Amino acid sequence: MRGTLMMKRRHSLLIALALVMAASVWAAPNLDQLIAGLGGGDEEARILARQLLPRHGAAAVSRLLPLVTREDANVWFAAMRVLEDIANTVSVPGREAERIETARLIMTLVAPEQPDAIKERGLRLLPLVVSEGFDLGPVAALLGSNPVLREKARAALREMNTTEAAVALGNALPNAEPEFQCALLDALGMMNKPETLPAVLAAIVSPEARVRAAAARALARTGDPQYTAKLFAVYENADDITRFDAGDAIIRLGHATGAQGGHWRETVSLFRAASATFDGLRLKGAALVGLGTYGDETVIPTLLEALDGKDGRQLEPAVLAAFAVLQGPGADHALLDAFSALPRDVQASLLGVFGEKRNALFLPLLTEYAAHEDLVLRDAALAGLAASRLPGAVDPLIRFVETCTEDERPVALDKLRRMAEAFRNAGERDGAGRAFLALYGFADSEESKLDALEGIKQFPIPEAFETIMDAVGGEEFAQLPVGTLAGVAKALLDAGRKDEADKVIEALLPRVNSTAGLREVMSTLGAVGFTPERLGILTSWSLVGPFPWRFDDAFGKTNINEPDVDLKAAYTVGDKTLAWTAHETGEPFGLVNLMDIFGALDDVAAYAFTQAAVPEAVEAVARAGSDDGIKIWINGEAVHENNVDRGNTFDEDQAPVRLRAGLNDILVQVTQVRGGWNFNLRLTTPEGAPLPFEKLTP
Amino acid sequence: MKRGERINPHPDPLPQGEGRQIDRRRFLQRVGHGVAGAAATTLLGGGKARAARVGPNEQVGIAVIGNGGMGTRHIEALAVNDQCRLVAVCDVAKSRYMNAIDKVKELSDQQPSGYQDFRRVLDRPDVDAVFVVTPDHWHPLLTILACQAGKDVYVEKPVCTTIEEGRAMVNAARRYGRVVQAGTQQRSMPVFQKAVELVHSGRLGRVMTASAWVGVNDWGVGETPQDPPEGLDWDLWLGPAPWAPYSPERFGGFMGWHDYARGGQLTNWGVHLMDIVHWGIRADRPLSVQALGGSYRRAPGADNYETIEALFEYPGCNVTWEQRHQNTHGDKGYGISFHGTDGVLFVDRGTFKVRPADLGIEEYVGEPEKSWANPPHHNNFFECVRTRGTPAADIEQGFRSTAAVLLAGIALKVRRRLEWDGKAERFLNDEQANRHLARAYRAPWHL
Repeated sequence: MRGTLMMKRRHSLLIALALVMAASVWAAPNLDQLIAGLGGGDEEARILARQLLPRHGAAAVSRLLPLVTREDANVWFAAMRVLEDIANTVSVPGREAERIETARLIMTLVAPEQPDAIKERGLRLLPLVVSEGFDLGPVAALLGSNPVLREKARAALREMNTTEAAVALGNALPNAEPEFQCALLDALGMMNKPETLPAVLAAIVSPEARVRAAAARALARTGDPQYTAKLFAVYENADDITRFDAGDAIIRLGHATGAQGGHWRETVSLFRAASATFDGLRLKGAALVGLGTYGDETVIPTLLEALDGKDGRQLEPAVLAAFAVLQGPGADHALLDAFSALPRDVQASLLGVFGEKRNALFLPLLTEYAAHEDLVLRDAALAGLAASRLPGAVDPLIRFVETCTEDERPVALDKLRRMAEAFRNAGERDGAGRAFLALYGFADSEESKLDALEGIKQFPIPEAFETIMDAVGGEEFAQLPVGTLAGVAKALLDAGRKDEADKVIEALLPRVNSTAGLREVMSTLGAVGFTPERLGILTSWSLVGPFPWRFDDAFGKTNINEPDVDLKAAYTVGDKTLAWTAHETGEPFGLVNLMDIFGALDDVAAYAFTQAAVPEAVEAVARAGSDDGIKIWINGEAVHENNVDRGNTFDEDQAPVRLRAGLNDILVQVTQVRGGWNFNLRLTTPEGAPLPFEKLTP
Repeated sequence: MKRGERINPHPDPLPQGEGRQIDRRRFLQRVGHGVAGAAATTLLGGGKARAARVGPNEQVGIAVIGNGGMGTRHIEALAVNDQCRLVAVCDVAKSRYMNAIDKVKELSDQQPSGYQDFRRVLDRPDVDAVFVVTPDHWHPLLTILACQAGKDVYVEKPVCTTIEEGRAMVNAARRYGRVVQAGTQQRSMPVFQKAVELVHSGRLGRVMTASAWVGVNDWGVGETPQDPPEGLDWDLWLGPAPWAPYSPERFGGFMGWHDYARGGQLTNWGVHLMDIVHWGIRADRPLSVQALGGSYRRAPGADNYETIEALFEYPGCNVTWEQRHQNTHGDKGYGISFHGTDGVLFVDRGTFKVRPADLGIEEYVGEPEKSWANPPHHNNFFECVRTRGTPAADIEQGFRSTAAVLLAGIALKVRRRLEWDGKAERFLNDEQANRHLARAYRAPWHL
């Protein structure tokens, strides 16, 4: 019988092996099959090949290239996508040899004998894979071909961005016609390689104005102030068509110079010269913005002068943008000094700028204008206050809400709410606290009141204590969310006002009747020494286990002579003797992690015992979470059992119980199928409030 | 225009467009006070500029460039918005801007001029601001050229198709002191404002995971190159993108093509949803990104992947992006979830919900979205045009929200995890991946 059985097993193994091999052949076709699939007529095979061919890397490239040249769009399109994937995946450190080989093979697509359409496909692929040092001769040769192809070669070289690519573009520059010279210069500017600077510098004295402007744009990207004079010369000699571009190049050079640091004087000097030289207002405005970006208070007279000039109204946006980015205390004072003499529209915009600067220096002015009779100025000042995120901005906004018309009130409240939110995001406690407290006072709906209370909870300020304390015991207090009260209690404790904090805590405890509420209380007050016992959580246990257990056993098997408990007893399980040990959980929700205590085990059970004393007999609810099943006995009577394979959800199981006056024995059996193993238990009133009990350590 | 023919990006200024109709009556009736200054014409540099900045009580003169589906949604909303006057509409397809003119006439008493070439629009001194609602590959250059022309800009999302373009847009806006608002209008929608406030309030606990997803992402297959239809300037449509023959699949389904949009829904809905994720988690520069995607259609066509899973690592928070063929989360075709230690918030344009229920936060149901064009977002832009303030979706912010999904698109292409230096805007130790941060513009266009 045994030999026959062995043979049968051997046959089964062979059949299984054959099936696995067959499956693996289907799942991973070889390169030949994939190439055939990509180039064939079966779309499903093509989709599979499209997905799997990139795994073959450079080894697949030579097989794919003929497919790229096929006329059938279904084939060449798919082959291009696969080659893109391969080019991208081999272009990482560690695969240099594959990368070079892939580039070399793809380069054959741009060989002279290839039709233009194939060359274009090669030019799309090469930038993905060509590396520094790679010979680009065949691509460079295309810069002398027809306009469409040379443009694609130029674009490919620019995207390769290697030194060889830049040199190829630079070498093509002298012999190109002006239009293509401009295109080459644009590419060289974007690549910004020192090796091609001589070619760009040669072009800046071209007889063609458009070439000079293109060269100026390219030089601007160097951020080198030594080219300032050359760029101004291009501007001075520009024709009507290229003058703007030439001026724009100067502005770009100024920003590139300023952004890299170390050339502050040269940068400001460039923008001063530009603002004095440019005759077009768009460029003049850009020069003024540049002055504001890199200048200090010394540039303010220039900016004000621009506003006073005949083109002042047109230059306002630029000057305001310059004011907005101008930095430094000296600049802020100078702006404040200049404010009163400015046109009204500029003032209105500047009030917003002042708000954005978030400097208390501007607060008195913003406060003053928040009560201005000119509605444009008033609204601008209010917007500035809201944007300022200064705690001092809250009071003027509150005053506005108090005094505004009914029509204005929603907008005013929205401003205050946004300000509160901005303070909250910035972590500005005082400002947020006062704004939310004010919103609480103004709230005209339950929703807005709750929103404000949420803010008060997060950022309680002394004035908020009074508001909350005044409500304690009153009808309104009963409506406050538990989390809000916990926040206030914590703030009171933080402020050293323990008596008031205790009063709030005593008031809130009966209302902790949900898991969410309990979580909020513990997460808020846990950090200041609030103990789980105050929420009815049992934390001191005697434990014994693990006992063998099977899910089908449920709670039918007796291990410790339950429901009787003898803490001095010992139990023999196999070759082990199990005894009761004391355990105090420090987890905020009273979690007893049996896996930590007994180890990661499957198919076991453990017991936990504790006692709680109450002054008189009382109806209560035992609330438990467990991973996995749980059974509870109170004073020897089974009150709850749930044979289940689950994770722990706090308070998930609930059982009504009656506690007797004095000591009450509480026994729990917790079962374990696999994975996590733990439980927690607390006692509440039937209404859900924590049940006060005396903690006893068994 | 024939293949290979070139156009000058900065042509001579043209005479002012005909048919200019400025109707301020509605606006002045509404505000009841303040009279706008005369819109005289002044030569400014190589072009023309408005005689004066837009005053506090003036209507903003606008042009909408790009009059396709989304452009039409904007036009419908702008035509009836008394904070602006529609001076011009513009599209490379003549039929589209003609339809746009008809739409404006139907909805209002305005009669905007129609243009095929945006440069004529930028040359008009009575255009204070332009709405850029073109295919994605035109967003950056139009924004930059408009800033240079002294216009403020509302640019649709994604604001750019490469990181280099996005930074250039921000630089142009700052260089010329212009107001540039991104079309991430969810920043102006109460449902998102309230949801983000809730996330910031801490009531969900510490948010360490967020996810965003969209479930409609199906591009057509096949391509049928042909001559462009009459009235369409195909070369101008292509603009800075590589030359390719016209096909209705590219023109009508540009979002599926990598040359015009870098990831399909990834850079469409992805920008909207990641924008809110950034807002909620208070971080907008990922530390790393990785992505996996596939295209399993029968027959090739548009070259962007259809299915994408991306994982972003932000300081203290992981973010996932899912893009599939159909609804991915029950009955929610798109949405965002913020997962806190105490609760989870789901939000879309209609509602937000918080679990578990015992957190006591009721479902919020907002106003149904009537149009993709959002008037409050428009009005925030107009207010900033007048006050020179910072808009709700400033271009820097719009760029960063776009950048996140672009990075995922790059990770998808290079098929590896990429570490990102958000300050330098470069990948760490991966020069090959860095090549994807820029693309060459077809001459004569340049950044």
